[in-house]
Amino acid sequence: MKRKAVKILVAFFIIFAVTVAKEDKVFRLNLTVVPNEPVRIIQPIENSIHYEDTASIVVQINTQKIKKLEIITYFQVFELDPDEKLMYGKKPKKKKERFRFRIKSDKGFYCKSIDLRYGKNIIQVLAETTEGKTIKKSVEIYLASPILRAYKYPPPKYKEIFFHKEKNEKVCSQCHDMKVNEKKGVAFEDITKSNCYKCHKKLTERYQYKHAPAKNWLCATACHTGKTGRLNRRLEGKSRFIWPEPQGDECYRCHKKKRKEWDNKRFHHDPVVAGMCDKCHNPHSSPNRYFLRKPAWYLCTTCHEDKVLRGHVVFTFLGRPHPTKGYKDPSNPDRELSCISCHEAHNSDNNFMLLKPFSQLCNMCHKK
Amino acid sequence: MGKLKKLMGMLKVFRSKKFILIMTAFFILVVFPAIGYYAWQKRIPQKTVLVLKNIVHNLFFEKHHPGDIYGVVHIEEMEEIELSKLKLPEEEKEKEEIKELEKELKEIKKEEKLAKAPKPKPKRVIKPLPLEEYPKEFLPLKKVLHRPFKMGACAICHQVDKHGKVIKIGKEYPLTKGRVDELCYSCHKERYTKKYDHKPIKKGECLKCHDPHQSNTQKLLKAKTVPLLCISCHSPEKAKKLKIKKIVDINVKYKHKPVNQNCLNCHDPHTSNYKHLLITSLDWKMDFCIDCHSKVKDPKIKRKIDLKQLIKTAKVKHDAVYDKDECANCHNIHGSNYRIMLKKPMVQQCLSCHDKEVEKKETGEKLINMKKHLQENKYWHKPIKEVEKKGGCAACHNPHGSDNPYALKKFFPTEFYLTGLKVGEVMCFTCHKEKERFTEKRTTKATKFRNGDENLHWRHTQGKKGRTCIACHDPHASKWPTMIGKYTDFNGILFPIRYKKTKTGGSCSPACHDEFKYDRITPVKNVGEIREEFK
Repeated sequence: MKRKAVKILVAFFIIFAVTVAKEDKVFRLNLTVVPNEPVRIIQPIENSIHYEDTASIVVQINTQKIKKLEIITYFQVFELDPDEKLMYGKKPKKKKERFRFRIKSDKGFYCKSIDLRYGKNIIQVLAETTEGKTIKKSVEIYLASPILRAYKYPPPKYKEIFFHKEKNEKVCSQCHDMKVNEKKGVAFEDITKSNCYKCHKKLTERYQYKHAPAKNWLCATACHTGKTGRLNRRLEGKSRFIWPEPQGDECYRCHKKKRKEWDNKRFHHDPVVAGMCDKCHNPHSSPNRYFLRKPAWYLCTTCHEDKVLRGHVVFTFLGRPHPTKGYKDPSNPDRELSCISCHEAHNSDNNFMLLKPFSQLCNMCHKK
Repeated sequence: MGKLKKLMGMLKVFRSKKFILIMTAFFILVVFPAIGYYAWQKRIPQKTVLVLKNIVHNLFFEKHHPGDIYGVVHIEEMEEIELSKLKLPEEEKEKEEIKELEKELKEIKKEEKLAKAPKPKPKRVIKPLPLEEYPKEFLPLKKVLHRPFKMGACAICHQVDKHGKVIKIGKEYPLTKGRVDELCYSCHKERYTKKYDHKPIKKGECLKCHDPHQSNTQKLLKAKTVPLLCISCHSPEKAKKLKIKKIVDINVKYKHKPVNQNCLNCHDPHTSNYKHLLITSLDWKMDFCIDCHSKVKDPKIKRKIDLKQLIKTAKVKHDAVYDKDECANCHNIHGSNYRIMLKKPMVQQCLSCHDKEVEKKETGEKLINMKKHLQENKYWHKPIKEVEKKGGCAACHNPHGSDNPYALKKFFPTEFYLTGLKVGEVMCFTCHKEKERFTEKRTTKATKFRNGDENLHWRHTQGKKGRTCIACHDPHASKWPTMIGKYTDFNGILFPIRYKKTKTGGSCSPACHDEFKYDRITPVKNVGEIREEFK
């Protein structure tokens, strides 16, 4: 009898171990210190979805076997929309980018942060062994966008996989300190002392306009609190630094005064009511004023397409519409004419979300 | 049929031109104005057509209020009914009856009191002894004499021999009873049996304060005045010798008036039902002090404030006022050597509690460790530095509580931006009166905080998003003589300012913008400057 019981127990244990291993396979990384394979890509993980247009690459190599190491990133580039051209204007228009590491004999891990573009991105690692062979390895990731219709819902092949879990962090903890070293409510006197800064510094340093908490590296205490919201309950516990969605309450914690003003208004923009500030504003940094994801006119017309196709406001006898861009704003001579020069983006007391009532609005420019 | 023909003939009148003219004139002159006037009365602005329709509806079909179309309730009509008419007449009658009954009851009670009151006894006149009969030790006689002493009835207290002379054994004169207090109580029959006793009374030492024979002061006291008598035990030097815990120091710089005049204003020297032998039933802590300090005799005198209103109705409360000893937490009630009768000098008194992070009881807000803050930073705000001239902490804060935030004396905004405020409304302007700093756009004199001749003080405080003084300056202490703080508080997050100084200018890079520089002589152009609208 005893033997039978032992056998049954052993069988249960084996089944349990297998199931655990299967579950773990989805988010598994190869964590062995000296790999059997000479080259291994640890981060990013295959078929993962990204939300910011930078990503950091971590490659582990066997230093005895490998001489050269090179990274190539391929972008899936279709013909660009006119507004996308504006965004990528300053970046190189090539379909791929290269970077070569310098290899030291005692260093096993190599990190690099790269640019991504919307859609599919393929990252290839080329390594040359001492014997003269070349090894090719590649990883495919996807950059999603909250507003662009083409990249809003990534294909089902890609999955939401996050890096910051205790298992994964062990790998990096040899070189990097992975603890949170912020005080709540007090920013760093010297930015570079933040632990987040070392890996994620490209998030804020790439663009001109920077959001204050992001620039001062109050990541874990201000926004990435590890809590989830109404719309992303499914991700609870998947990462240490997950953020709630909708994130409106998180924003209003600092922007209290805005909320007081807005609550009493008559008309509201839908994303504002839903608390999806993330849709138009990039919470980290942006090349555009007010941290907008695109310049104002292009941002509005991604959703309100009909205003471009049909024309807007009033028409001449020949059918030409009133211009909405391409001129200087007469009421505000420093600024370009755009949707914001007549409309209030968040909420307003006037019809059509105008800045002023109709009777006063036209007089702002047409003074006679 | 003839009759019908006649009637038809009558109808010809309608066809005649005269009749039509008269009727049209009648309509134009009388009917239309009447309808117009009616419409004007019942009109609803901008929608006269609907009203006219409504009039037709009212006249010919059903009577409705024109407001019914829009579902409007007319409040004006409701208000026309007077509220007094709604009251029932019976209630008023009852009230008057009750009042009359109460009046009668009062009169009856008065009469009863008068009847019960004891009639005043006629005073006995006591003839004093002739001076020759007193022993020589007591001469010359003092103002107040004990009655038996006056009458020469020594035998009431002292043991007497056959001739009526007081017996002397060694240096003592033996009494008729063993204890002094028993002897006193045999005449003075108010036995002191209340809750708290004065210690000499517990021990039966009446003669510690009173002289049994004669004195120059009322009640046969041993000293010239009451305070001097009390001091003889309770002064700090003698209290140490006699091991008395309760100390009163009268020889101080700042005196409390009622203490200086008479201790009996507040204390009962024998017994009392209340703590500290007080007279009143008021709690000895706050209510006791407020009882006098809430009465303002002359409104012109600024020093006397109505403390009762200030403490009990203040929005921002100081926890020390409500803590264990209330007023006595900070003040020495009997007087002290420091201003306003504080226990320690002004700033030290405040720092005795604020030497750690203090939590507010009501809101749970945490106040900073002020002592550490002052020790760390070199330059202090002048009221803190020169306490006696400028007034210390109380120059800005009201320690008893205030309606303004941070318990300040005058208005100060709590929000980061000051919208709709004018120059001079904030409290800081009571001392710092240089208003040109914030009104002139271009200067070379008013401030040193300028880029070339562009006034940067003006720039930071104008427009929709003008900032308060606190945004950049620390009102307590700072590393820089210009009192620029270490952090800006933006809605609960402290962002470092990172201020640097050069000979002719400086730079800072807070969360508001990237690192911006300024220079008085050669103006600097900063990258990413903010436009006019959002200054």
